[in-house]
Amino acid sequence: MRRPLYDNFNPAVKAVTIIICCIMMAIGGTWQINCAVIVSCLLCLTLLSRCSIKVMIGLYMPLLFLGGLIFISNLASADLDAASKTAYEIASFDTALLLGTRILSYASMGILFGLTTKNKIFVMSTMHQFHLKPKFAYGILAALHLVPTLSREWDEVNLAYAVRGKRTGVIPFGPLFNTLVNGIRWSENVAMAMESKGFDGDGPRTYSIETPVRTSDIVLAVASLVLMTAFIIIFK
Amino acid sequence: MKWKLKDILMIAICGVLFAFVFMAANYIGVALTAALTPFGYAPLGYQLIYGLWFMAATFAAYIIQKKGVGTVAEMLAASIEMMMGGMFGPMTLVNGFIQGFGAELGFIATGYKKFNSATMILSSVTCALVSYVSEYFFYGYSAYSFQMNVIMIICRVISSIIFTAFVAKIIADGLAKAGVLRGYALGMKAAGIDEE
Amino acid sequence: MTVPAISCNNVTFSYFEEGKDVLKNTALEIPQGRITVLMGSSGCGKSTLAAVLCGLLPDNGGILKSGDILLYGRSVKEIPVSERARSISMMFQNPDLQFCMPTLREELIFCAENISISPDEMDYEAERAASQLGTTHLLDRPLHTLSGGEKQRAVLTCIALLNSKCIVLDESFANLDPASVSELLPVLSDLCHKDGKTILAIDHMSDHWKGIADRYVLIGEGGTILCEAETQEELEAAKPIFTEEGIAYPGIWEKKTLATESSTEGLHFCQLTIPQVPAKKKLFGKATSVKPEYDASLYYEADAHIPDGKITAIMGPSGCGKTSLMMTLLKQRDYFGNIEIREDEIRELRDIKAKDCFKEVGIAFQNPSNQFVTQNVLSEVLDGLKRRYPSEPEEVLKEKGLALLDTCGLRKYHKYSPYMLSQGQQRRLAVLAVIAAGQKLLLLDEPTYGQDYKSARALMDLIAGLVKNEGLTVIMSTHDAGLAGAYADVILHVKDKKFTKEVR
Repeated sequence: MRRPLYDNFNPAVKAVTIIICCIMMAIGGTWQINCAVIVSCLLCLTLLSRCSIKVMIGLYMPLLFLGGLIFISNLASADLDAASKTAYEIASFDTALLLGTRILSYASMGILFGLTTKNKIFVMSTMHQFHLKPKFAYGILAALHLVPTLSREWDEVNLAYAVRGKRTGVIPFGPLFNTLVNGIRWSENVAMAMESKGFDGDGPRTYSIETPVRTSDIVLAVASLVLMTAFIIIFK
Repeated sequence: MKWKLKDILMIAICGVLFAFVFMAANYIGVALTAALTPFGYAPLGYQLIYGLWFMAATFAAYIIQKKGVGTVAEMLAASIEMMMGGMFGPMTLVNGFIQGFGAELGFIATGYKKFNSATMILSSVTCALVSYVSEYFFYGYSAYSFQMNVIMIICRVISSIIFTAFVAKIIADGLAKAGVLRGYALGMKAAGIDEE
Repeated sequence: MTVPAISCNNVTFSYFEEGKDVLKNTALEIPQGRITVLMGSSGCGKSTLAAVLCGLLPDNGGILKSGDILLYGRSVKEIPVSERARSISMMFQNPDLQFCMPTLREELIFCAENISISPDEMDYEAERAASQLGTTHLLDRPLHTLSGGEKQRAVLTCIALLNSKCIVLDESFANLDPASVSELLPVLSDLCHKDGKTILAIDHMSDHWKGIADRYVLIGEGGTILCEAETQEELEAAKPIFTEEGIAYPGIWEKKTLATESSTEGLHFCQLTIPQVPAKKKLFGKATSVKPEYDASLYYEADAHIPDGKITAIMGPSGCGKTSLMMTLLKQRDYFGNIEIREDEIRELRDIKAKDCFKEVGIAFQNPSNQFVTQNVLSEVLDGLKRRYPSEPEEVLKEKGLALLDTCGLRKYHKYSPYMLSQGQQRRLAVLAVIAAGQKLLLLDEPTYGQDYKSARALMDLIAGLVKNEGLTVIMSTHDAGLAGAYADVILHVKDKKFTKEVR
């Protein structure tokens, strides 16, 4: 049975826990720790969350590829003759594995957070727990909800470039400029629309979503940190 | 500075657009990494385009020209990137803060008085260096040789100067010339035009 | 006597310290419980006035140099933003840019939080507002999937929840089709005449307000009041001022005779069927799809002829696939049946490569700022000219470019960024830029959306001139029957997924 333990974890506390874990992992610095983190994150995602496994696999694929490349690159130079070896101090299987798994372990924690956290709840939680001002919180949400509109404009701009026989390049700075012009014009419009609906960025307001920190959140945070400490003690 | 809702929205919307660029750039990063792998230089793949990720800070600071804008803007952009499906979760915010603060150092050094190419280059270099130090710790670059670290820093600084200093400045100047920044410090300087 | 809903005196407003005054000593009084329509040509400062009255300006930029605004007798400056929404609220022109939440229900709850309604009552309040405006079925649909008319209705639902005493509409109908407008008008009329709300509508035309508005105010440059009218007779008498200001009134467009000639040159749609949902692009090979059933298509076995060297208008309710037809002509969507180009030889659109197709077909989008590819007005035109005459020297092309800009009064702006131009000028430039490349077929998607009479006229005159002198073929989609009647040689109505040619 998959229990939504991580899905219900208070987002602000979850974020802080994960950041501390990342710092501990950086101090730890062995491939065994990295692998332990990757496995625990995968276990959490499959057992303690109800996230989509399909999406999870989709996210891991390019990362495995990238991690693999870094691993091979480091390993290859370890096997090369002494002349190329100078690029690496202690080029060895261990180093290659450490650097290859490092990116995967960071991303695993990121994915664990991303797949178990709803954007809106996270923003609300930073407002309640970290006292982020409403104007920042709702500003971010408003911009995120403009994504469909922006991507529609983005497609239109790119079509316009194609129709007019213009290439846009690998990084499409041309279309980016057009869309920025629109976006900046819109920012004022959206701001006025929000204020016209009574939105006061600093003033008092009521909240339909409360994100209290419960005992279970503290327990989960402490458990995660204890596990991380255990990994460091065992695998260092 | 006192942030207005429309300033926050301006940066957040730009952040959304930059996030689109980051997604495209991610593929380039992977491709470059793959291309460099046979030579043993895979770690350089991302360093070459890293400057793209610092753009939000200098871009916003150059437009608004006030204290703290670089840091806040980079954090806003980081939070947007994270919520649009970035891989690194809350660490994106930590990196955003470090990168934003790194860029801010360049503007602090000039006392928020001069906003020209020199300031932008200075800021892009401080951003590249400060972020490198943090990644040295987080990504364990100590495993690489001294020589490799030097090459990585050079690549990062060059990429940062190209994207964070020049591209950001060119785009912002273009926007000012297009008259869409008239409410901001940069736009005030651009010449006006009388409507028909 | 009751206090007026809004009154302002001696208001002078400018966006910049040294800039010109957009509003100059404007004085205005909006009485309670009535519908007042404020009209003026573009650039006269009517939208600025609306934002100033709502207190959104100078809060969001600009300087109020003199004067004060009283909302129900209280100075707008003294009312906190959240409290202000109880007395006044605004509905904007662009339906896409008025929401910060993904669904109407969440947007309504956002509004409820803003005015500090207690969390237990929020759901009830949201349901109440939705049932009042008949938007219950929209509550949980993603807002970006709603039509323009539905979005504006959603905004009104928010205003109903806020229970604002006065509603200001800033060109809220400009981006809507006539059908949506005629659905919204009775709602507004009820809000005013039954619920006692005050409505101030900013508009560039008076047509649709006939029979609903209680009072018309016409303003000119700098926000000065030119005339006021309470009855149709008074409005009729003010016609000369309307003409002078370039504001449309019913019957302003003359009617052109439709083409009757029998040349077969041009585009032919034969049994054209376009699916509602475009087939997904595949990485390799052609997308395999089957011809859709009647219900799953936008056009079903439709036939039509679009003659060369003429203006063809395509009309129909929104969502009938006018834009999709243009996308099909640009090879962005798949279709069944044939689209033939009959000139000296017969070519089938399917067999032409997209790249070659773009050499002959150009498009001007609704939002002109989406299609500029350079940072300078002259370069916009030069870019096309260079493609058309690759061997000509730069100097000659420059002269040609300037001459082209001269045809619609843009020459004096040739050094400016295209985004600096007014909306009307931007649209004209967009058309010129397409023409410069020697395009033979020009697609215009709602060319006069949100434009006042003066700009619409300038744009259409430019196009009519190009058709006459250069033999350009134009297909334009429009909701404006008056405009289509005045300029189109052929009018095609989309009805029951087929084209019907208008005959007079």
